[in-house]
Amino acid sequence: MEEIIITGISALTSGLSAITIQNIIMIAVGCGLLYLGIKKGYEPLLLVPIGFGAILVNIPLANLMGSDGLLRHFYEFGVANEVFPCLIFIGIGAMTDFAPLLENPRILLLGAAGQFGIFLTFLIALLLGFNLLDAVSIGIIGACDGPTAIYVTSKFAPHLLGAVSVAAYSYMSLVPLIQPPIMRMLTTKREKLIRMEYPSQKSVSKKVKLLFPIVVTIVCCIIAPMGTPLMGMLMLGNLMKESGVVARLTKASENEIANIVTLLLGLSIGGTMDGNVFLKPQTLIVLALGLLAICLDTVTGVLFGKLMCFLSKGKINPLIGAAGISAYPMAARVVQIEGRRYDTNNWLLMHAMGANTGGQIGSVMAAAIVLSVLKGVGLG
Amino acid sequence: MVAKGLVIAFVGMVGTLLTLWLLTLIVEGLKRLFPYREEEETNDKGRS
Repeated sequence: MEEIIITGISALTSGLSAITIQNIIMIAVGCGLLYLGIKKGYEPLLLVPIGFGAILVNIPLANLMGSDGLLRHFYEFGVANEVFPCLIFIGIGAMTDFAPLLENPRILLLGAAGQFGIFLTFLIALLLGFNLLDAVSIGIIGACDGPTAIYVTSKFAPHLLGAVSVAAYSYMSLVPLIQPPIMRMLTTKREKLIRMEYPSQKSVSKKVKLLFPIVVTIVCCIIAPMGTPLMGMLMLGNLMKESGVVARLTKASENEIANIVTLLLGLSIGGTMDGNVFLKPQTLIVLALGLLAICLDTVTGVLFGKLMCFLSKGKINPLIGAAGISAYPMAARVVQIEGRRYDTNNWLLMHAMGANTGGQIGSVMAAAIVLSVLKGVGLG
Repeated sequence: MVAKGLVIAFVGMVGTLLTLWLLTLIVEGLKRLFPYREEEETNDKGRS
């Protein structure tokens, strides 16, 4: 009898005896993510499930990422096969209004320049000794687009998924802190004060709005076929929204589907943050490089904005270049706030929204090109 | 490996820029082909 009681009690304390210092640190990290999401409001939709997933996976003996663990099932169901990022992209497409971009298509180029940080960070990661596929996955944090980063990383470097996802989402939410100093440093007062014209009347017809997602899909996917799942789903969502004939599907994509997938995706990512695997110097380097990627994106976006300002003889405010990094719609809001710091009557929001949606297309295109080039050199 | 990386980075940057420039031209073309007409848009709205 005594023996049974002792065995029973020791079973209850086995969790406590099996906990490692790494588990304790990661449970604290999970709590930190919950704090950022709940108290600070930074990307709560993602950081809350990620933080909670990180706590769950570090409970000793629960083995939630073991072969039969709950989080492992979520992971295999939608992350390992890249289904979740693609489903989220349908929702993003359904929520995105490309009209500001279509009003002034030239600013689409800012969406390309805002991705250069991906490639520069990729090169820096290579120089630091990461292999090609790891470097690509680290650089893609600069896409400032969670699903794209997850899609590429789960394909090439699943062991970095936790670090890359946390970096992508937390830095995205920190865009209002990261971008303004760079924008101020790279632009003159005269440039900051440039007011951009708004068209006196609408110039985009319904037909153009309808044709845009179809044309983008065909052109981009033919150029970089490996990005078809991402670009295709993004544009499908937008086509459904613009057509107006499948309102139920559009509504489901931007609400129910996006919500369920976001929850499961967050938990799955949190599940990759097992302290015994996650806590190594490499993770800190990934987080640092992710920050660098977003800074470099902002630098190249603003510099390209300056070039466009020069070529357009001062008609384009270079600040909107910062919105080319994606991080929709946060980056556009940052541009608007920065513009109004120097001229309270300067309304850059719609132009910045155009650059921002251009950045969304640019980030997917950049990822698609990298995937296709890697496939071409036999690494994809 | 760095040489391979440089090629990937160069192709990536130029490829992204050229593709989006191509899209810019296509959108400009579409806007000329299907210009905004208030009447048509109002009819479309009425129908939906």
